[in-house]
Amino acid sequence: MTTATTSIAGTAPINTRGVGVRFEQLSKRYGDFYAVDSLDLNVAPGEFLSILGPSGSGKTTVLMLIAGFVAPTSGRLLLGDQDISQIPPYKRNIGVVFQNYALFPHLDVRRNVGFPLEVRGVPKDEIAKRVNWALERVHMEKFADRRISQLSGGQQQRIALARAIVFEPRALLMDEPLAALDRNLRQDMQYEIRSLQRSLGQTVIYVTHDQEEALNLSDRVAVMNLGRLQQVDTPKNLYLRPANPFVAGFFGEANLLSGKTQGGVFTTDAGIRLPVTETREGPAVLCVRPEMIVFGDERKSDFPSLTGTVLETRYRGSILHIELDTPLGKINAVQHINTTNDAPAEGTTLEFGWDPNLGHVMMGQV
Amino acid sequence: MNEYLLGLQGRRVLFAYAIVLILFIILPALVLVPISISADDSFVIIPEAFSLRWYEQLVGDPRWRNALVLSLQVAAVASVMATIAGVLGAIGISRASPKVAKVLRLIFIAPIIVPLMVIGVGFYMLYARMRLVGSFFPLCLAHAVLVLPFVMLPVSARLYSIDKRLEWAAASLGAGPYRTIFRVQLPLLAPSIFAGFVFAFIFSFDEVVVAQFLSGPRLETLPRRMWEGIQMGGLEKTITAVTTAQLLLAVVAMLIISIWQRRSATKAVSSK
Repeated sequence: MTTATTSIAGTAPINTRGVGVRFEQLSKRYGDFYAVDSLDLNVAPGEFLSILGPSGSGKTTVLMLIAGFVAPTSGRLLLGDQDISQIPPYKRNIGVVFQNYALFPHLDVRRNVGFPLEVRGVPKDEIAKRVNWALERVHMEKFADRRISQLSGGQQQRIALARAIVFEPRALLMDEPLAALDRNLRQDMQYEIRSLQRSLGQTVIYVTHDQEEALNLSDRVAVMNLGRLQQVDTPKNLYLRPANPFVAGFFGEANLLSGKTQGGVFTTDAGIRLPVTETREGPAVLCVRPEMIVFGDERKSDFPSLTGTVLETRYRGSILHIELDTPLGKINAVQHINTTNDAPAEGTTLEFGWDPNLGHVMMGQV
Repeated sequence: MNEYLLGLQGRRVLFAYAIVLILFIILPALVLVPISISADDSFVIIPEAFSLRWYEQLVGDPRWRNALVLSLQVAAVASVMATIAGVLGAIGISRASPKVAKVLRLIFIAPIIVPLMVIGVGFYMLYARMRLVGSFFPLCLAHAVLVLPFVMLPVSARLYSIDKRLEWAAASLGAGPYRTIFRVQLPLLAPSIFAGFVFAFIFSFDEVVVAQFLSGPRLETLPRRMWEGIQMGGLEKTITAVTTAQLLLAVVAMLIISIWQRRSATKAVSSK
């Protein structure tokens, strides 16, 4: 590293602090089709929030609405205290990182990163300083004079990131920024994005269809499906306390039993009574994760006591997957493999159950 | 793959056909080149002595020179007008809704579909009523309309191959619509704009039908002068000098375009 870049690192203590983003009943309609339907969501300043959903869930439309590339049909979008729903994208001060990087091919790395400063009329020497600062944040200071075509995909994404933070945006939007990268690079970049966001205190809204990525990176994850927000919660709660069967099924595997609950007893549609901790009453769906299911002696006295026949067993890395035919229907269970356990033979009858404290009741019908 | 599909015999036939076709395309253009630099008056394809006297005559004879200068002026003004209108039009169409864009594109490209004779007569009737026949700028304007598609087509094609997200990226970074056009779109479109400009210039420089209608007795463009020369006194050898010069102009322009486009194509592709 040259002495010049080291000294600049010391002289550019840019304290970026993101602001909050608030959606109030925000909708985008195309004809009769609601791409986004009455979205209410509050993103705290400095929070890393992922918007997660399958394709067609409306997550990309949400990103376009925040960036200002499409206008909402109704509702309000607030950036800090300011309603930005009618403000054009170039006046919003929101950095956007695109999946395909969207770097300007006719400009070199330095001019790309300097672009947002140039259009804001920042003086030349100040631009040089801030560009060096941003390139250092993404470890690309040695590539300042390269052409874009001379960079690999991962390097281009770093430049795109530098370009999006160099003007101290009020919020940072990322649209599946790592989708085009290979697996190892993706994990490195996840780590870097996260540490960059923390050190800058930047508000990040990160759109992805990759659950692992969302769970790895985010303070909270907003799950969308069919244009509607399903649940906003911490990664842990999304898994253990899903709001509805869609969310339950979206994060990992789930055994979903429909029935009704009353006074701490869940009765399945087939009439089987199972203990639960839920005290509310009404139709509901019980979610039991495969890894919560225990066999034989591991069960405690308050666990439901059920029997099932082994239909199939599969080794998946460090996990043994067991599919059971039971009075509840098909039940999936997993066990961690240690050297002593062998897969039960197909057709074996097993006794199984689960801790009622872990079974999660979702009120409402399927 | 062709090897297996055609067999040896088939490939020979195809090769021979291709050679004949290519010769037929380029010979009429090339045949005048040696004639134009031969010293004597006759039209021999393989000259005995070389001379540039026909080129000297093109510049030296006032009637030829005036026609040459006028044609260059008309082509320059017309292609500049067409380039400005065509680039703006192409950008506008790219932002219009698909239905509107379809209709607009058809209108802008119509001048190369509608027969020149029809356009010529149309402009003549319009200009005759407005007493504009035989004036310089109205002729340039008519030519600009004619050559508009030569700008529209390459620029539109390039616009559609440029990633829409570059525009969004520029906007998100704080560039307003005008700045986005000047800082992002125009630089990326530059090779196709230049290509369009060159095509437009060459077509206008060469155009005789509409010029015949609109130039009246006073304005004699080069193609018109050539046409008249052939009609009155048979082939003048100055014509061979004119065509050779035009050919050279076209070849040089095409070379510049292809080099430029190859360079900017590698730039644009690698960014995707």
